[in-house]
Amino acid sequence: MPESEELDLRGLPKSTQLKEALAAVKRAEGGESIRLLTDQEILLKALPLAVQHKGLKLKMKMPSEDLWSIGLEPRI
Amino acid sequence: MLNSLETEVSPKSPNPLIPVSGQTLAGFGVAAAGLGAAYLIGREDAETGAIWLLALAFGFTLQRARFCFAAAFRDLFLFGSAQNMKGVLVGMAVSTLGFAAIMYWLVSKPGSGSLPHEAHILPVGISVVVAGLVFGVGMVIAGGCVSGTLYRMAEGYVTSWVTMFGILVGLAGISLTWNWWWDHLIINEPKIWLPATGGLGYSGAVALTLVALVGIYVLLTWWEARSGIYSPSISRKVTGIPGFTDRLSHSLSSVFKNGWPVAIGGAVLGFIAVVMYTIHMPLGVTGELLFLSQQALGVLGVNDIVMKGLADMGGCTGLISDGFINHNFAVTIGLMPGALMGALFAGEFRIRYPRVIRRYFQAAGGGVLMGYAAGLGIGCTLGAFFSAIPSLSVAGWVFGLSLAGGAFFGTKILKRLG
Repeated sequence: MPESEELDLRGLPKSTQLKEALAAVKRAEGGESIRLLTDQEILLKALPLAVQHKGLKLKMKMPSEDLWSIGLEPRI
Repeated sequence: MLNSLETEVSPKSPNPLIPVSGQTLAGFGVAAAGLGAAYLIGREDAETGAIWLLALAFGFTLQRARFCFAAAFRDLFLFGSAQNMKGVLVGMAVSTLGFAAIMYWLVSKPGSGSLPHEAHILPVGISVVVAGLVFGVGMVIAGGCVSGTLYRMAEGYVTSWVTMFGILVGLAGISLTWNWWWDHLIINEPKIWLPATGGLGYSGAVALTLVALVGIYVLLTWWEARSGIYSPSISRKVTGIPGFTDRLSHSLSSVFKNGWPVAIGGAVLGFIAVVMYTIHMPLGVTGELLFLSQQALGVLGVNDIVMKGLADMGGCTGLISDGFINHNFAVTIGLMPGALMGALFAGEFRIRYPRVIRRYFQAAGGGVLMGYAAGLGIGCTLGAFFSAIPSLSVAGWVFGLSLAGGAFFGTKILKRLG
């Protein structure tokens, strides 16, 4: 069973959130399920490109106008 | 597993305010206008001018810390995150100490039967439970509480303007139905003030409140550990010896560019609340909005609204009658230029339309619920919770617990909405 991780990036600088999100993509490639919480819209543009051709599923939800929940899961 | 990120700070890092961007320039413009307004208002009435200044700081802090009560309650149930709620607790702890000192100055013998003027000591009963539950559902669906809606309006969120319209409609609704609640419930609901209860006195009431706040903080930490959510910690890696401009740049960035930790935001808000109370009253924004909704009703031909018993209540009653620009106006409207200033200096101002049409309906519907409940509770999360608990009022705790219940149901609805 894959490990599951929840990472709250809200309030961190934009560049830090981006670095951490890309690091999370790498960990997800290793089989982890990861959920990211972010207040930076740029991640919505960057992550779909980052997960392309990497065998990962990306799920996005927007519970309010300034909050996104992004799930990264390996395709089984 | 905890991650630690390193950010590099080199002596060549650019000053965040130089070169000056268009938004930064606009930020200076708003700051100048806000201070100019404070001067003009202060010439008429020094207290109102001072409250306007505090409101600027209040709005700036809300924006920089992204301090929102709706997020605090919603995140507990939606993500298991207590980051925002911990900030709220820190703010209330700071206010509790300051409010106690002010209330002692106003009423030195709490058992004497009188209550400190303007403290948010509200009736405790079914009306508060209903208000908290309805407000909790509304704020989660709308995606922001009343003060959160005000600062997001200033940041350019179009849905927040729709939410505000809903809040005003809801407040108009309570204006027309308040007397039913008064006659059937509120008239029989007691105001319970901890220092005057069970011989607690000020020291006992403050100790009890602080112990409860610390206990909840610990409980929330357990809640987060249980959910597994975490925020990465950032260590700063300094390369080279930073000079004067680099150090200044770092300080400016910490205040104007980077988001504030929510606990810092909470502490600053707690301090602002204390200063506000020393001038006149604790923080609250519902009173002015209630007044504006009644003005709108007047335009529609519904005049002479009398809300029974409200004149004898603390909290956000909107009953200050000395002109249009009064203390309620200053604290409610003044927070918006403060928040706009924060957004502009951080380069975060942008007109943002929702991605899906459904958001407009959520915003309006949630707003109506919040408006009605804020009127019924004689305050929103700010007036009936954040200002009521430090006023050592039992109603604040009842409203808070009911908010949690409402937010729980709200997140269930939110999950269904997708």
